[in-house]
Amino acid sequence: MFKTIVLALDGSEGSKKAIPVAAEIAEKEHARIVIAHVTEYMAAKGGELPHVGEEEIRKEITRQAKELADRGIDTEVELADSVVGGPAHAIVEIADRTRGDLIVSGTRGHSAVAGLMLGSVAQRLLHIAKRPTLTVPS
Amino acid sequence: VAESDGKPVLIAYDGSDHAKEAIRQAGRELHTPREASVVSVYEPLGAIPFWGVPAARVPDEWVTEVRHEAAKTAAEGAELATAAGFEATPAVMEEVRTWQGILTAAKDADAGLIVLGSHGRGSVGSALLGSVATAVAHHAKLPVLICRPANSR
Repeated sequence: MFKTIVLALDGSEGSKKAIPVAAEIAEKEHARIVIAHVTEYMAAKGGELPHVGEEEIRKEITRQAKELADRGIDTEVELADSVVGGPAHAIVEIADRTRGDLIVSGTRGHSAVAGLMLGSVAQRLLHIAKRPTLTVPS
Repeated sequence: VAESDGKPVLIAYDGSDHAKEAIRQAGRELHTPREASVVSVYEPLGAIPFWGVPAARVPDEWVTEVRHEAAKTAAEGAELATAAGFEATPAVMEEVRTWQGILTAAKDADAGLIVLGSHGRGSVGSALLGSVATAVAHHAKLPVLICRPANSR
């Protein structure tokens, strides 16, 4: 059984789709949810944030975490920083650290190019994760 | 799984060790009993280039033989899935592109979730994610659970 579900969230509409799926598995399996949120920094530009409103994103994720907790699911938020292009690795690190059994993600986050079916983070995640992964399409 | 809840699971099965492990993992991790369709996708013989001749004509009995082997594989997968706690039925699908066969089978079964191993039979050991799993994750409009070999962590 999945004991720890790592749910990758970035505050985007695409990532939101993964929440009910993760919640349902967590409820059935009595598993805890670790929300993994990675902030991307531009390495070449003196560390600025590529997405405006990281503050808003964190507020949204806090709200989403509270909703899960209100459903009775043991929920925690794990934050990490990464350079652009690196969030998938940071998510896997969080999964390693928290002994995640399953990584749940959407297929498209903030930076996914419209028309692509699988965003770059989701795609890399599938390639580097050494544990079961569940992708939930937008 | 979410809106897919109660809907059957589509399990892609090619007889490989990865596929066997995926069934075992899915049985452990998903809430069972749950209906499952276990599909084995096979390539139409005529579509395989034969000494450079595309779409070679092959004897009917060869075609029957391939279909028969696919059915045997699917039946074996369904047996494993039943042992893992699913209410499983075998299915075969003829399709040039395996990933497309899997998606068609998922549609036919009105599946709410696709389960497959990260690699199938055609995998190169060094690749971290097989081409079929990659393509299914790319094209699926429903959640896809990709299982990993038990000793990969």
